[in-house]
Amino acid sequence: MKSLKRSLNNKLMAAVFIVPSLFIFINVVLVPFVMGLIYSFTDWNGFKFAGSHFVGFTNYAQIFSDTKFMTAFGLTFKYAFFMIVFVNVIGLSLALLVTSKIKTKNFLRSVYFLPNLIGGLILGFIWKFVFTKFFVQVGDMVGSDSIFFDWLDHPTAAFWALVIVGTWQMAGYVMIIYIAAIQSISDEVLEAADIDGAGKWYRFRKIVFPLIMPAFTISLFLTLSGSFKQYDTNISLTGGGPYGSTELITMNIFNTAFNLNQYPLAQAKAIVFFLVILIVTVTQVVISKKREVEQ
Amino acid sequence: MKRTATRYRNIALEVCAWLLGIIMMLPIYIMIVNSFKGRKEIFTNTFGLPDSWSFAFYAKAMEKMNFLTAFKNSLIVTAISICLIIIFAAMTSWMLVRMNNKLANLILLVFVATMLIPFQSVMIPLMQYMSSWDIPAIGFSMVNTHYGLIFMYIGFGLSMSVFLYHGFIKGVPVALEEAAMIEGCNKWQTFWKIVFPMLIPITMTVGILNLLWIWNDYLLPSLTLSSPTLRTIPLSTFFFFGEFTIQWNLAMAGLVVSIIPVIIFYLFAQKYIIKGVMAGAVK
Amino acid sequence: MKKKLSAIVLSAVLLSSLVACGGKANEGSIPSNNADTATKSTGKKAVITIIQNKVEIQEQLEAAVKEFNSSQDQVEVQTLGVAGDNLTTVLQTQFGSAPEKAPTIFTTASGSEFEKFLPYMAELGDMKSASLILDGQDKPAMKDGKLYGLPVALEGFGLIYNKDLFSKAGVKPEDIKSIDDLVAASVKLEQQDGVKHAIAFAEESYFRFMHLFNWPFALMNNTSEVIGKINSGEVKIQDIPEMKSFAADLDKIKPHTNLSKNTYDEQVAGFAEGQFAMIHQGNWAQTLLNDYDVSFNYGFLPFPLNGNDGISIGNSNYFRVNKHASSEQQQGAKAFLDWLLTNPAGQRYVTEEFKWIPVYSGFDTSKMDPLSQEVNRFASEGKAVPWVFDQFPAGAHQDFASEMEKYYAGKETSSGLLEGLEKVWMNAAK
Repeated sequence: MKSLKRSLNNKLMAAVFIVPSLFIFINVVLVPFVMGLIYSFTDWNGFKFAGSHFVGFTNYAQIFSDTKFMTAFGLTFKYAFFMIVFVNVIGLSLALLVTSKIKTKNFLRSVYFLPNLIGGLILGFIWKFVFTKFFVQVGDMVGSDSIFFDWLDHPTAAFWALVIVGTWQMAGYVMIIYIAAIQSISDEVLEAADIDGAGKWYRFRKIVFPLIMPAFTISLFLTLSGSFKQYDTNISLTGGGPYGSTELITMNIFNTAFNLNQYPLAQAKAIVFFLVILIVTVTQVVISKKREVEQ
Repeated sequence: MKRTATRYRNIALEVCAWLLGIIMMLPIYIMIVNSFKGRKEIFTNTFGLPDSWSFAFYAKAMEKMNFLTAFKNSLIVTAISICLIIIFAAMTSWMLVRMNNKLANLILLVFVATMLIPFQSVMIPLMQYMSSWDIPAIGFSMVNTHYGLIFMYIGFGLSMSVFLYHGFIKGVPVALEEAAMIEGCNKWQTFWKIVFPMLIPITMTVGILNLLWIWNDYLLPSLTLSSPTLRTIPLSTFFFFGEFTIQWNLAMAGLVVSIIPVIIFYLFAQKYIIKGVMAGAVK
Repeated sequence: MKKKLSAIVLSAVLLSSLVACGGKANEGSIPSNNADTATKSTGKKAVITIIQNKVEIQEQLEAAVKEFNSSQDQVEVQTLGVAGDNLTTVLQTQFGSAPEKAPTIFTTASGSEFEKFLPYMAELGDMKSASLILDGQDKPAMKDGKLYGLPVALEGFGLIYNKDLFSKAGVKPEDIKSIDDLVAASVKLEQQDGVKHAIAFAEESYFRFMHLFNWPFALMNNTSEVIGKINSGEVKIQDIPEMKSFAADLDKIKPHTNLSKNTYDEQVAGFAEGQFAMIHQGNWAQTLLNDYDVSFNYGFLPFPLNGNDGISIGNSNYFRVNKHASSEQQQGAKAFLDWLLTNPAGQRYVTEEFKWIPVYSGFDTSKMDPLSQEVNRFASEGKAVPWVFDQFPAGAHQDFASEMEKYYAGKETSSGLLEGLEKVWMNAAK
């Protein structure tokens, strides 16, 4: 009798802790998502849903003949891959740098954090100037245009411009997460390692890194979802150009909906894309979780 | 001998850090100098210092943005959203970690998976659904109100915040909580008394990351808030962004003014992160 | 214990501030809810909201609205605002969720946007201003003989040229009668100090493609017929003689252009700096030119394709009234638009403050700015080439512009360009 009451109590408590969040989350995120899922099977016109007809998998079938979408899909994966590598390597380095013993670390921490504060159109504008004007000027000065040319004018270079700007913006973001993790490692552990005479690299690999593994998993995932959803930088820096060669997936979906007025097709694209990255991500999380446990 | 080597290495490190910092700051330098230039000067002299350091564009930008109202609105929306996100996310994550059963894992998975949905693909259904929550008799409406916007920010902010808290709480030892329970605290008390104070570093991180996003967000408020009196800072910069032409100097001046509060908050929060860690170490 | 207490207090404060904030927010939300309340309570004014795409005139519009509000006590107009390229998205979401709360007056373009928002547009044929629309300018807003929009302003584009540079280089604008003349003039102009390119096009897809390709299509004498044939697949773009010769002309001009590599802002700045002798732009550039403190004289030059001597004049932007607003709101909206477009007090704002070229008879046009005067002159001399680009397939402007970009970058020949355009066209017309 007592244990029954207690488990009831426990359940009630659990509900108090979880239900408010779930209520908001379901209504703000899940319901619209499911609505979108339903829309993707209809001929919805982008306005009121009433009066739309179910068309089965027609929209989904159309996706696979959409070569632009397929290109954007591949490009987004490539983009995400490089973003994950660069953002985390640089973000972690920055975090280590500003938690090390250098004197101006507090100031530098704010400096590295600043790029996050410039978003959207302004960001694109500034970087556009760097790539199209600054680079060209520097190129003229050094008399070589092998590195310093108008990057946005060349499909491959424009892609790398996207990666650079994305990294520039996001590295400071994951740095914050790494800092929190590094600082939660107690000094005693590190001092003990120092007394043992462990080298810096050894100390990092064997002591720091395993302890910040959870932060690593989190940062990987945040970079992954951030770069898969990248839109602002894409639209403001390259606008998908030159000649449509740098169109990432979110931009493609947005254009399908708002330029071509094919709303259900856009919804279907979003669903397909969501499922694919979900699979990728779950695999990634499972792998890094495993490693966490092994460590 | 070893000492001098370390010292040289530290100096080298410091130089590297500064070089990196300069590269990071270059675009910010461009932003600041151009907020002082006339529209033509921006294009004729993009990288140099401005001809004059007049704050005219700042004054004009702030006037056009109706800065004080916008600032107040942004502050209300951002502060309340972040506080509630923190409270809800911390509570939920802790419970999910301690439950640690199939249901908890499923809930976590759903939270995390939805981080992958691009906002652009749910925005029309979201607005359709939210505008159906409407009780004209008592003036309740999710659309065109601050509380409606805050509600949506909490919904979108929870995913990442739960994810961050969950990862952190897994590393928090259960022993202290058990001791508190034995002393007679119930879960509610245990959480606020024992657990939450230990979460301060991650709470600051969650706060900052959400701040970055909510403070600068344009798209969601542009869809929900239409009354001029409710506009947040990013919304009130619409004046500067025409269909084909942009008043860059005003836009940049407006941005500079609007990010200063974030920097101040960050400096403040940074202190707290360190303090929080210190407090943890003393125990 | 203290910590627990403070936590509870904290959450209580937060909750109450949420409620307090809710109360405040409600006051702000009254305008949009007034759709319901205004109809019920007779004593209250109907509130009308207006949203439009030209942020440049937002401040002036607010002044006009203020004057209108104080001139009568039936309705109250409020101006809403949104960044220029965000308007369609916002309108779409609002009409898609609660049309009765969407703005009472809004602007959309003709063509595909007209079709898209048509179910939400009230008929405006009975308005005073509707009867004063200049000949033919109401056509793009007509559907089944009914009028669903009031044109915003006449706009004209062509080559805006630097008169001082022209005379320095010894080029007479009236001598430019063909593309070959234009090229010859460009060669002379490029010998002048500081001139980087004789002609500059802007990179935005409307400027890079739509406006430019308006010329060959609009100068055919059977434009609609030809476009119909392209749509049905009867004719391919690369087989149309006019297009072939236009492609050849592009090849001649290309070396003298900026390859459309500058944004609109940069293009006009370059013109103001004397780096470009001519820019392919419209009278809307006037506000920018004013901001850039241009020190020389400038004017419009026809794009001399096939001996054309006119500039391209039309309008593609229309005021619409929300059909789902209450009847009081719709009446009020019409009253405001009639005031703006027919009452001398409102008209003053249109020409002097917004710097628009009126599309209605009965305006005093003596105080307009230089470029607008020029457009008016061309129009009154009958030298106006119509706007036909809204007949191009919907939503394809970016893809068209991408083809142009390939051409400018040398990745595609001019005949390849026509084939590429044909592909994009057929893809979008499906």
